[in-house]
Amino acid sequence: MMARLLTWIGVDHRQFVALLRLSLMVDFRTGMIAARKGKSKGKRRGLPGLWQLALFYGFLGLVLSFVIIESANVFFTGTVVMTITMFAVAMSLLVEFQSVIVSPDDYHILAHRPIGSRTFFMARMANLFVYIGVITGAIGLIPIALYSFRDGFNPLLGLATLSGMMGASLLTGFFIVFLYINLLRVVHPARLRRVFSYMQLLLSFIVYGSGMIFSTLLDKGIFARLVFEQDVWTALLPPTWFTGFMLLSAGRWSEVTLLATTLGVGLTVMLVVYAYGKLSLSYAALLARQSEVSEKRVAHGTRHRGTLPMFRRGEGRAAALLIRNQFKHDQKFRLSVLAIIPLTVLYLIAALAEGTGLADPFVDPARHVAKANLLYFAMAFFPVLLMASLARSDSFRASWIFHATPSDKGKLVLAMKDVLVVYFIVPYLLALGVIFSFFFTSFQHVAVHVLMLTLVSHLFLQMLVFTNPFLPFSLPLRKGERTSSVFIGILVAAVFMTIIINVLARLVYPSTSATSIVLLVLAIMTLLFERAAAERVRRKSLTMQYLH
Amino acid sequence: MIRTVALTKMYENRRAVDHLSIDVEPGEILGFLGPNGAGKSTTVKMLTGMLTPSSGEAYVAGFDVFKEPLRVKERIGYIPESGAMYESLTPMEYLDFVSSLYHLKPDVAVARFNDLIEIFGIAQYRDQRISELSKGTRQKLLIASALIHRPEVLFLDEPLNGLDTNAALVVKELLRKLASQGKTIFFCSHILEVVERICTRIVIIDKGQQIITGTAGQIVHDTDASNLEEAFSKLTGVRTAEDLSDDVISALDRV
Repeated sequence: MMARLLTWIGVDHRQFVALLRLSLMVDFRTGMIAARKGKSKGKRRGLPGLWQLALFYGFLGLVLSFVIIESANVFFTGTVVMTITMFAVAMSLLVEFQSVIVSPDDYHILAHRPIGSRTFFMARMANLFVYIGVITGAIGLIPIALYSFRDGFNPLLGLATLSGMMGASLLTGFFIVFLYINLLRVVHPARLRRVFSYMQLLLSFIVYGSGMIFSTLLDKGIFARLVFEQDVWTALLPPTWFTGFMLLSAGRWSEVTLLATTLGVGLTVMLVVYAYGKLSLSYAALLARQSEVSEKRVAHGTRHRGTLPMFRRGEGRAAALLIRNQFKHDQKFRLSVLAIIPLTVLYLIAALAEGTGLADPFVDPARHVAKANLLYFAMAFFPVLLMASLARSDSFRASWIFHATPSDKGKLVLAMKDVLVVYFIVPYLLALGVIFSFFFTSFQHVAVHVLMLTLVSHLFLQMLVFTNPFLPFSLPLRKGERTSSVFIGILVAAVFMTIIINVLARLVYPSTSATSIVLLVLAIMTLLFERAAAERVRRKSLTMQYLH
Repeated sequence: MIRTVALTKMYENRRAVDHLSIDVEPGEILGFLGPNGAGKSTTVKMLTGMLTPSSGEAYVAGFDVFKEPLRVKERIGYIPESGAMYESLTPMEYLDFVSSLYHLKPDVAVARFNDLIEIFGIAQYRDQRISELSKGTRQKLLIASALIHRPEVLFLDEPLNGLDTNAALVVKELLRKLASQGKTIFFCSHILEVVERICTRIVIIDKGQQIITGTAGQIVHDTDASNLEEAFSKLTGVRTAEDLSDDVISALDRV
């Protein structure tokens, strides 16, 4: 049946199956290779990226379930579910799985094989459906179960939720394909990937922001009292087109609901037809043509900036040059580091939202902690983010250089940590210091607080290096891992920083002598930890091998 | 079997391949030589249907490469210089995948890839991931995957990359035997001794243009050189190898 249908639309069934199987095998195995290497048989390998992502989105579904339970308004909760699903699919396609649509990699391996462009792209689309299915299924699992048992056993509502979510995901997925196809006509693939990567920052901003707004509204019990019904204005929001499925299943439909749902389904069908028409024609050729022409770049002269003495020679210089230049040229690395900006800005906005400003922790510790606690999450999260971004890279194979040259790998690992502190952590904390100076009563307080935070961040980074030393950019990227590692990082950072900042503001800062002693203790701990970390890294570095 | 007429490829304002016209007959092994960036890989990519030309015509196995690319691709085998393969697959999975693309019957495919991996000495790696294989083993796998569907025309871009002496000998002998069966072989390499030994004819290109064609002996004679290496250097080198190497040594000694 399937084979006949595929043949009927001009797709080679056998090649289609082979290509789809291949892409799933490759994606499910990505990242497992590195885990496999160097570990003895029987050891745990870790979850493949897609499953990690499914776990993450499953957790998102769990969070959504609080809203579903809190509010009796199915239209409202359904719209929230559809909105989050659409965002999740859009984000995943733009950030983690854009290669499914724009990567020319497959083309380089397969272009000389006798594969029709329609077969090739239908397989890619099927690949896309699998991702969409996994993401939608993971988010929807708990909400669908909840809706199925709302007001007694109500499987129809559960089914309608599933259909709505799939419809919303398909519309989003195909809209992104539509966007790619059209943008690729005028923009070089490399530039497009860059633009979409910057959208990651914007999307993170939106997602973190809506998460914060959500939790605030949930705290205030707004959802329980919210009036949000389908009318002409709400019908302008695409997610409501698919919430219509849920209203229709409950028999609560109006002309607007019917119109909005028809619009949603109609648009999805139109985008599918559009994509089908385009996929069979010039997309493959366009990709190849675009990829074979180098992108025009404005040539910048090499600037030699002043370098600190510790980074002027040997391993220090190598680490500084590598990390700074990777930040300049490696889009993925740069973006993962810059992801701290939307988080910080949002938390700052949240801290300032009620107009009373950030209190001086030396003057009003309780209010400072209450207002700025989220900001400290971002601050503690930054070292985790930096370390996670520095470990994995597309250029991981180039790490042979660390093993084939007489460089001291232990020194390299420690130099990497120092580079992160000097070029990333300190500027970030100084920027925070500038913001603090608007709210603190004295410059001295700002200086002491920033110094304290720098020492704490450095200690945190030392601990990360101590527990898991690695050479910079030496591990392969894993699909879906970025999202999940960011999530885990936030959790760890939240616990860590809540304790630290409470202790500092409530117990240490009220006394000048306690502050001086803690600063001294932190400085001594930094020195001791540096020695301990150096020794452990030195020992660990003896067994580091090039495994690619 | 392979014919190009004024084949040209432009990259913005640069001509990568410039009005290239060549004919390769069945049973011929054509050595396609040129310095780095001369346009060899671009030509091969156009002939295998991977790139579209800016102008000109190309025919492979009797079909127009640009009008009937699938017909051509069914009849060719290609070993790319990049050696790109899906790293997370095992050799068996990769060969299985490739044979599906050529519609080989499963039993035929299994029999062929069992034979091929046995002959190439990679049977013991059959269940290991490609990413874990040595460069030579990967190259053997790449060669096996190019031959599995018994192509009429073979495009080989540096096929001996990473192979040990014994494996290289096997491949060279294999190419001779395939040519004697009437297969056409388009051979790109920088190893001039190999080209001299196995190619029935040589084309040298530079800056996208064909600068000479003939047997190794004819080219050596026409350029008044003592061997193919010297002839190649005379035809494509701006300065002699001796001058350049002297410059390198003095640059290293200077500071």
